[in-house]
Amino acid sequence: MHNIEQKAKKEDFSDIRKIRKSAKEDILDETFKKAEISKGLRSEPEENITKKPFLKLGIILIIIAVLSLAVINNLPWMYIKYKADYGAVEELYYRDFKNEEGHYYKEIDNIFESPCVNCSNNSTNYIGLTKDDFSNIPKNTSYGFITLAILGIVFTIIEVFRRRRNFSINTASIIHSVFASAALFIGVVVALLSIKFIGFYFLLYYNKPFIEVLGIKNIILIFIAPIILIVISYAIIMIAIIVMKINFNEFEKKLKSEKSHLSYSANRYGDNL
Amino acid sequence: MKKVEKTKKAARLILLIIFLSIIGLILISLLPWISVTEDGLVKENLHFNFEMMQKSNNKQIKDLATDLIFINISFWVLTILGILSFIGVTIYASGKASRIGLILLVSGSATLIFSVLIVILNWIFIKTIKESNTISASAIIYTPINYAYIPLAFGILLLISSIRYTWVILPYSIQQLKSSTKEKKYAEKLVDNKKIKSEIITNKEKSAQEQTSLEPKIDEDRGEIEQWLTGEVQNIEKQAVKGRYLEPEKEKQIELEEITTPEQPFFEEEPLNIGEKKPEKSTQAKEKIFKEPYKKSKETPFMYYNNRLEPFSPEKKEEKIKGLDDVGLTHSFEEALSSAIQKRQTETNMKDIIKTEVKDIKDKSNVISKEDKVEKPMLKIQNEEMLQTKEEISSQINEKPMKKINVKCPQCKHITTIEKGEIITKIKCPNCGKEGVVK
Repeated sequence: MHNIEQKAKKEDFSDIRKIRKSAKEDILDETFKKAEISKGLRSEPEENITKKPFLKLGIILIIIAVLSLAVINNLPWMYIKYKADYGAVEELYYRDFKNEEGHYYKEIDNIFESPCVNCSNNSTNYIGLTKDDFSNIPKNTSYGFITLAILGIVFTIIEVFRRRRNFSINTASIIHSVFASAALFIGVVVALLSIKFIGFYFLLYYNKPFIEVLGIKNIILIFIAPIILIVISYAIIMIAIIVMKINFNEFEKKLKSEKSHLSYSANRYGDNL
Repeated sequence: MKKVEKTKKAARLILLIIFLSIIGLILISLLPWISVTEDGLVKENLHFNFEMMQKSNNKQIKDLATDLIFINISFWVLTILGILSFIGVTIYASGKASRIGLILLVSGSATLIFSVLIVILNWIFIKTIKESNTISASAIIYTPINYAYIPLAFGILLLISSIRYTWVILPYSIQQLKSSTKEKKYAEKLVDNKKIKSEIITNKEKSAQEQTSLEPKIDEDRGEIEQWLTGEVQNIEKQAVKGRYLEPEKEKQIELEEITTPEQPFFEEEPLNIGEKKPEKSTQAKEKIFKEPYKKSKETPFMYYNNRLEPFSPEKKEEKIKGLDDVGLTHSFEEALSSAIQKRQTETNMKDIIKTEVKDIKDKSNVISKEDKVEKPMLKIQNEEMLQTKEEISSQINEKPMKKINVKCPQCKHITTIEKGEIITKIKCPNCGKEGVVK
């Protein structure tokens, strides 16, 4: 009986030992984990390998070009409202000076082509615009936007090619800024072509007596498509400048970091590095 | 930091030039420039803008329009130059094709010429208007200021900025260009050296590849040698008790007559009873013996002379005595054996070390768990110690001999040499950054 009791006691003790052991192991694991966290020895989280950014300048340029071509071809280039001897006239003129209603008004023709007979023949018109401008400027601006679209397509192709062929980031940025500067140039050209129409408002103010002599009173002239085109070209210029500046700033940052690293090493290891 | 400052300044000035020249262009086609008093039905001033001036029949007005055309062209040139020089700045800042960048930067200093031209032409334009009796400059509404002065002001601003640009950039870029030309010349001189270097590198790569192919064979040989050595060690241990080591067959032939003292070398005191035949001195026989150490003739006795089995000769007594130690083994042979044993023991020792270290750590942690009163910082310190030991163990494991292997990146196919231990190694491609594991 005594032996049996001893055995039972031993078994109890063994159980207790087992429990203690397991408890110790648990504590050990916990302490290890804590220590790893505090020390930072744990397996480092995998670096977020940033995917190569797809430069969307090309797509933006294509969208802008398509939008502008739609504006050139579909929106009215001129809205005119004036009071004549026979009544008020309100007309919309599209590209190539086309009036969809087919109305013909002599007064409107006189604004753009001066019928001056007794005057000193200093000028053919009083507002700095001719009928030809309504056909030439849309044609030139549409050429400009077609080139912009081609630029965008070429840039997008290069970008796709770059992503497949693993170009360096530096070359990609240089190409980016070159295309942006080309877009800037086109934007300036388009803006200057359309700015003529804005110049009309200055002359309308200064040459008002001459225009009123033609039999036009209380004239209201709005060049819808040119104003929208100016806004679009302004947007192109701004986008191009921002893109160019962003690329330059990135390079500058790189240059700064390189230089700071060099200066640090020069301080530490000498200038002969 | 000179490069950073210069590029930053250059970029600012170029952007300013571009901005001013675009505004100048807009102003030219926007503003009314001149006014002419008409004597027709309306006796008032007729204002002309750039377009109207170009289409005018008046000769004086047309002459003024040509001035404006030149100003317009100059503004265009300034814009284009500004754009080009900005591209140059970005290229130069990128560090790629910096020579082209510098050339573009230098071309940007031509803005000075065109800005001067703009100012001069504007001045001439204003002067001719003033001199004329029929033509007058258009003035801003409710002010006596003429519109013609606005582009002049922009021209002056452009002139100032282009002067600053040329002052900042031109000497610096010329200096850089000169240094780059010098570098180019130096590089041309080094082309031949580079070719030689590339050849050397290719040869090295080839040899490294050959080495990698040879390594498994070497390992096999090493294993065989180690096996043989372990057998030898066991024999030596047995023979060491007797105080000498020889081949078992020859041992029977060579008999020691007497060993007077265990401390003194036995060769000096007592000559060995050698077999009847004298040892051959010819080199051919020696080579045969060396090549087949286990198939030795029963007639001739052999002894180890500096790691070599050679027929025994009494003339070489002294040499033998010097080479042998108390036990009767050569030092070099002993060293080889000890190194082999050490190699064998390293792995088992390492395992023991790890076990003992882990035990210690466990004990420490047990102590910590028992003593609940122990403060947290103390726990941290102990944990750090434990981790340090862990690191030491891992470093000891990692100290094992490393192999140099050429690895080809599956993504960019860039070949890199890495040092591979026995443990699985993680590698990162230096070219494209792809991560992988070499087993």
